Amino acid sequence: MAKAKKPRTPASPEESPNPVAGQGAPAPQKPPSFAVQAADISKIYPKKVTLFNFTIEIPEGGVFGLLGPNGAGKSTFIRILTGLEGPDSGTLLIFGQRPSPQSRKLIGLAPQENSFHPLLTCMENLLYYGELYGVGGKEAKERAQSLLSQLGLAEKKHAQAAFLSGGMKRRLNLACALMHRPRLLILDEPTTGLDPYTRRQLWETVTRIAAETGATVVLTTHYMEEAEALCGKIAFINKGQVAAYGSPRELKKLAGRELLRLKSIPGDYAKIEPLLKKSIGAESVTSTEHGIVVETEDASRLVPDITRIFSENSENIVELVVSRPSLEDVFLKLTGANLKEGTKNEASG
Amino acid sequence: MKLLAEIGKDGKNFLRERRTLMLLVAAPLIVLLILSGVFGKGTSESTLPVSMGLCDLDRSNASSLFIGYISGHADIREFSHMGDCPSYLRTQVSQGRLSAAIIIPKGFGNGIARGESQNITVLLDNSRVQISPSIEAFMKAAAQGTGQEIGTRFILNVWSRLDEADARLAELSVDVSASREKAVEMQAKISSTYSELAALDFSSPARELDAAGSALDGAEAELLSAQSNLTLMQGRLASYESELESTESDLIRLKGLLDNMSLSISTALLVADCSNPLFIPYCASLHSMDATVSTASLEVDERLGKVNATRAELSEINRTMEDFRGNIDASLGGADELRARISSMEGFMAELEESRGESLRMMEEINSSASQIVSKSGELQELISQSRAQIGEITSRDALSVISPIIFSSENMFQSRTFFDFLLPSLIALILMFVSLFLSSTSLVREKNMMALERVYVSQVPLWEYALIKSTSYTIVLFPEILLLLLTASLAYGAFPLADLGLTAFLCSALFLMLFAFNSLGIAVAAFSESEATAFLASLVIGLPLLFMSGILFPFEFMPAPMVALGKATPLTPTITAMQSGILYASPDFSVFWTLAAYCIVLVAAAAGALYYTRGRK
Repeated sequence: MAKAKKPRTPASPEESPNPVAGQGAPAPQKPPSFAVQAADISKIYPKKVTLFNFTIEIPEGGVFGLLGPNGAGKSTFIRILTGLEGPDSGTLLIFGQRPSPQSRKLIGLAPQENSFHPLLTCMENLLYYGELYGVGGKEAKERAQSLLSQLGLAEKKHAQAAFLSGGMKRRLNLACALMHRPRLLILDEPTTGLDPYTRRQLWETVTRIAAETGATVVLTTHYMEEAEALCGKIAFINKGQVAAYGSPRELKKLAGRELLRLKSIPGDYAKIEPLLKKSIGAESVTSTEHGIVVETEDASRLVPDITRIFSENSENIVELVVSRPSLEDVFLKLTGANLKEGTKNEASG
Repeated sequence: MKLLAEIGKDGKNFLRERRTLMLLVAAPLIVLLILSGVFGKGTSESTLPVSMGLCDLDRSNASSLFIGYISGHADIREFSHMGDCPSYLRTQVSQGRLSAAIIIPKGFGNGIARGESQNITVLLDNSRVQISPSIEAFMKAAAQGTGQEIGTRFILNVWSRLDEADARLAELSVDVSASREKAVEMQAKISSTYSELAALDFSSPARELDAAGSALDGAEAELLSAQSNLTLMQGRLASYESELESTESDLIRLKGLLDNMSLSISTALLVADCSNPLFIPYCASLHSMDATVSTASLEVDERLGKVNATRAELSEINRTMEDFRGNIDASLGGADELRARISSMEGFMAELEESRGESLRMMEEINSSASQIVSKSGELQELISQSRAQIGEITSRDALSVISPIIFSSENMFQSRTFFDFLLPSLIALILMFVSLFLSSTSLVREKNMMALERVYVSQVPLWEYALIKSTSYTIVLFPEILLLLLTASLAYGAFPLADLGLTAFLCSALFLMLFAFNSLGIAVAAFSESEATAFLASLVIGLPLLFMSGILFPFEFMPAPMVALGKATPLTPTITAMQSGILYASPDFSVFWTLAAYCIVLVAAAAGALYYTRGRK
């Protein structure tokens, strides 16, 4: 276990371990309570540093997203959080407790891969995992029944897990993690490999569960839209460290500017680029052979001037797209890495 | 409750996995069925079920005897008629066409007759590891049997010669007795002669000889003295004679002088005229003087006569003395001769004395030898009688008992049992070992790979508790397998009476503990295995050596000491011991429970350790 060191609790946005924490958030009415407090966690494998001075505080309640490419350190942090591994250094508190068998009881883990017994029925799987956490007898049956209903598996309660559909299996995987009413539910890439419809169904389920149980849900994913749809707070993780932290909105502001993409005919963008830079005062104008990208705080304000300049230079605009920054853009801007490509030459963390 | 949940889950998993379930039930029965067929032969059959080639280059009575011995117990194929049958048989055996071949060399029979050990070469295909030791043992037994036969014949021949020797010893004993008596007689005679010889006194003749010697010495001394005196006297006589000659010479000269004087006086008278008165005085004086001279001349002549007479006497004396001297010299010579004789006699006497001593010593030696002859002949007689007794004792023995004083008489305690009956207790343990190792390891790896084990790792359940629960669960789930095997063993093969509840409970308990131990080992294997295939192979890698080290297929007695220690230090071996004690010997060995219980504790701890060590690994 890491050395005993009390994690730093950010009292103000400036003290937050990431650049955007607390930006635009309302002032807390009471001292914040945290589901997870990790301070200076490092985990070093032979020839590879997976986490380095990893510091994060996950507030209690709601859905918290850990985003990062493959090998960023998300899974390693989850493994440390669930006690599968110990950190080489640093301090970890779970609901204010040092990791222990008791603290583990507060955690429910839905691993990335379905982790239940395919030859057992849904009900049997839930009862078994309930027993694992000391939930047995009538209580277990009622809890299992309730979960199966909540997750839309009531009709399949006597079906062997092996014969469920992909979505149902993911939900059963989730149900198994919920049997002992964990205060911290960890979902490790819960929608990987699911079709978009099933994925959205699962999003709804997770949102509902979080709302109904009041549990803190920590979700790892590299789907930006998933994080944006589910998470109240997000931490970008890159190269074993927290690159950014905040709500999706706060994070997007990190990218800051909207983008205006234009394509025209004949497309003499080399001629247009300096004119745009000179006349409209855009922060950034970039031309490529495919078009021009204008970066600005308010794209709609510049559109008339831009169309005029194009017209004056006999350029007929054939495509005009205004795009606001996505989380992916933010990540790209912050780290220079693409979320889906991941960190090259690094094993999955 | 956790245990029940685990048992319920594992039981359902096994029950719903149809093929595994079918194998769990059918595989042990099939294994038992096949092995009962394979090992169904009785253990008391004495015929060797193999073909052996024979190359008899000797074709003697001895080789025929050997061949006759083996041909009754094995299928012997004769190749002696072939040109180079040793090479041919060597090829046949080395190419696996014959299990073994026997080569009897030329001169085999003659060599045995000369009393030289002979070699029979047996070519063995030792790749047939199960049968080749039996063939070797059989051939050794055949060689021993033939050797026994030949040896018996030889011994009987020896017996006959010993009987002859005994007869000769009897004769010798009589001769020795006679010799002894003669020696005793000789001893008596020697003693008598010795006494007589010892009584002879040589001192008196010696003394007499000494006295004679002394007398001779005295006489000789006197003779020498006389001789000396004679010499002295002769010297004196010579002196006298010399003086006489001198006197005679003087007298002659005096006479001459007197004659001269007389002549002178006569002349003086002639010249002088005595007639003249003047001359008368003168003439008177001359006449007186002439008278005196004549007187003196006469006296001188008288004296001369006396001197001559004395000289004659002296000559006579001298001759007499010479005669004396001659006599003395002769006496002295006789004394020397006498002395030589005395000395010779003394020497003879000394030799005689020495000879007597020598004779006495010789007689003593002869007497001692005679005593020894008497004593030794007694001993010899004793020895002869002992030898005869020993010969009698030896020849009274059965020749076969001399060749083989110990006759091997084996009695199989389990006469009617087959090899399978002996194997069955071990087989049950073996089957359960493999079933438990394979099932526990592969099942847990499957759970690990489906991340179900990860849920356990993240739960609050301590890993030692989980290992304990898991081992117990697998053991309980597999317990029906124990019952199935024991039921089959009892009902199908009559291995033990099922109604003997104590024995049945003993067997169940031993197998239960073994299952627990191997399930724990399987869990440890699973913890380190990435896939079911890895777990299976790892279980095989563990199980197979345990099988070979258990003493079932290869006896402990033939293993090196470290491997015996290792083989006995596995959970399988005490279980086999327990099974054999219960089923085969009907004498349950409860002490193995302690060993098995210790294994359970150690291996479940190892399983927990393995789970703890590998829990963070993906």
